[in-house]
Amino acid sequence: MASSSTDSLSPGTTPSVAARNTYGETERSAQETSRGSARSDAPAAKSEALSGPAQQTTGVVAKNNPCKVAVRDLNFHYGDFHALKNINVDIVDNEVTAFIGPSGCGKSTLLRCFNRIFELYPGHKASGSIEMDGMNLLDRGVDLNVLRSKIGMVFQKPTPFPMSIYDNIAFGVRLYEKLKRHEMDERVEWSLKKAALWDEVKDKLRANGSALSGGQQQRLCIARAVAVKPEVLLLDEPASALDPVATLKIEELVHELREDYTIVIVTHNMQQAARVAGYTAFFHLGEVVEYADTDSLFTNPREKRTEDYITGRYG
Amino acid sequence: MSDMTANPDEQRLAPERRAVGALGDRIFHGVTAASALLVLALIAGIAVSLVIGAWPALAKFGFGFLTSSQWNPVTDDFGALVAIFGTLVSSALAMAIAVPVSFGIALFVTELSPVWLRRPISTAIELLAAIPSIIYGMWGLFVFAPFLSDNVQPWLNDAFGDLPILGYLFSGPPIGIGVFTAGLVLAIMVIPFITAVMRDTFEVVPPVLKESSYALGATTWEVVRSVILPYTKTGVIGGIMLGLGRALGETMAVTFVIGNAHNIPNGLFYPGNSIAATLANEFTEASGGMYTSALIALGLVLFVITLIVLVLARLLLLQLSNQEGR
Repeated sequence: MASSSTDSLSPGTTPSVAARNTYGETERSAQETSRGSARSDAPAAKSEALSGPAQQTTGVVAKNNPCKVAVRDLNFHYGDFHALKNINVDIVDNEVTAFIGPSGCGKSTLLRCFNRIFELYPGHKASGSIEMDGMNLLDRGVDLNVLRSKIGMVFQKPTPFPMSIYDNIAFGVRLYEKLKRHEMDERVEWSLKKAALWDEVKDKLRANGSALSGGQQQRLCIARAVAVKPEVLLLDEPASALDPVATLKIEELVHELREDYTIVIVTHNMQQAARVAGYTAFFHLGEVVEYADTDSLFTNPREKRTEDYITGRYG
Repeated sequence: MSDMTANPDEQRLAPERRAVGALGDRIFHGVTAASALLVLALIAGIAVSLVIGAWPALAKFGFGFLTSSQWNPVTDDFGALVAIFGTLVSSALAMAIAVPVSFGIALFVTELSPVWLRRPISTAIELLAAIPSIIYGMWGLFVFAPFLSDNVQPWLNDAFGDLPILGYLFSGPPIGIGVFTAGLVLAIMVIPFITAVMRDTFEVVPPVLKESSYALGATTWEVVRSVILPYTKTGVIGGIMLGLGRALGETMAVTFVIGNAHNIPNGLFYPGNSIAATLANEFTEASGGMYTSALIALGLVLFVITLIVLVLARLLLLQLSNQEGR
């Protein structure tokens, strides 16, 4: 890791990237005033830890938008296996951020840290911090139920609950809110519309969720997550079990949802990342190799490993 | 494939092999079909022979056989009510205790328990299931009944005996032998069966389904109630029915502790009788044709009760699946 990153950060770096970085840095210092000093410390500590300023790429975040979720020095262990190593990533508010990388590189693992779903399994441990709204999500004191109402998740395979379409949506809402019947009806309709599913299911809301097609089921799961009104949506390869048409629909949906939510999407499909994401992080062997806005990451990767991956040389 | 074409010998053998394979398949098909049909034949055979054996009693007593609490071999006057009552009440009591306990065990083992504790508990459950019913009977008679009589029943009698309806469950002589004890022993006997089935069904719930409900912020109980239970309802109800079937038909353990008295008990601490216990106790003594026939009729009644339980379970499942939409 150390060798390749220093190589690619040699003076030969393309002008455009250098320019972008400068741009990022200026924007960023403006933000730091409001966010306090913790943030300005982080990059220094991080670059030390990773023996290469390549990780400074997190600076890209400050380009236009404020940072919604800040991952700082995150380490993750599955038992003895060190799955994530000193991760530092800033997730941009109201944008789509894609995590790409070969299987087993830790991108899903990082996603599962945001809502702490990994805690369902013994031996899975995360250390470091994930800050959102001034709170470290990994703190013991954080109320998981509240956390998960703010950070929704959609999984690789569609997982409709064994109940009607209506109840699939209402289930999550009922956990947090006591709504009157017509209010619940409205919420169900609203979230199904958000997920671009309303027209297809409005006549069969009482039908079982598993009666829908795979693509519809996945949009139902997105509607279910949206219904709780989260701030962040985590999508773990949401289209990998779907056919191309359904995949396209999900991508369009992600594009629209970006206006209201901060979205993090894990994908194996680089074209998909290029289509939907404003920012992309490339993961390899438990590290963030490169994190930049999607255009420059794909057209002008600074890291040799990123370039190799996106040109299909490995992974 | 490429190997096949490369080897001319094998290619020549191929058609012959196919013929043998096809014949083998036909034989296999026939054998399995015969085994399946055998089940139908057995059920029909048992039903027919029960009806034939019970016919003299049914013809004499008619519908009154079910509603009469008489059981008098001397006057050849027989009614099944006492035995039906004992069977149903002791089984109901057993299920009322066993279902929640089994549910708790299964849930703990699959969802909540630390990993190192899972195996010991599961093994203990399987061992409990392997204990022969006569051992439960002996233990019930020699250990459990005296214990209840000395420590539990007097206290229950004092505490609840005077309450209007609940009191019925806890009144009677604290002698340790009776319908109440039979229910408890049955509960202990069916817990391992229900638990094992429930645990197996809970284990097949896809982790991602649980994750997605936890990811919405649901608590463990909410996940269990709204996702795991509906998902596993067929298995859970199947497990309960398996337990109920065992409780209804259990003979040896119940015979030991139920007291074998042909009365409708005035309280569950009183001795009573069950269908299976009556059959076990009296078949060897049944001399007259009518006596034997009445006992076979009792057996037929048990058979029908079990059948009704199965049908009710089906209807329940049907209703549940209607509720969650088609």
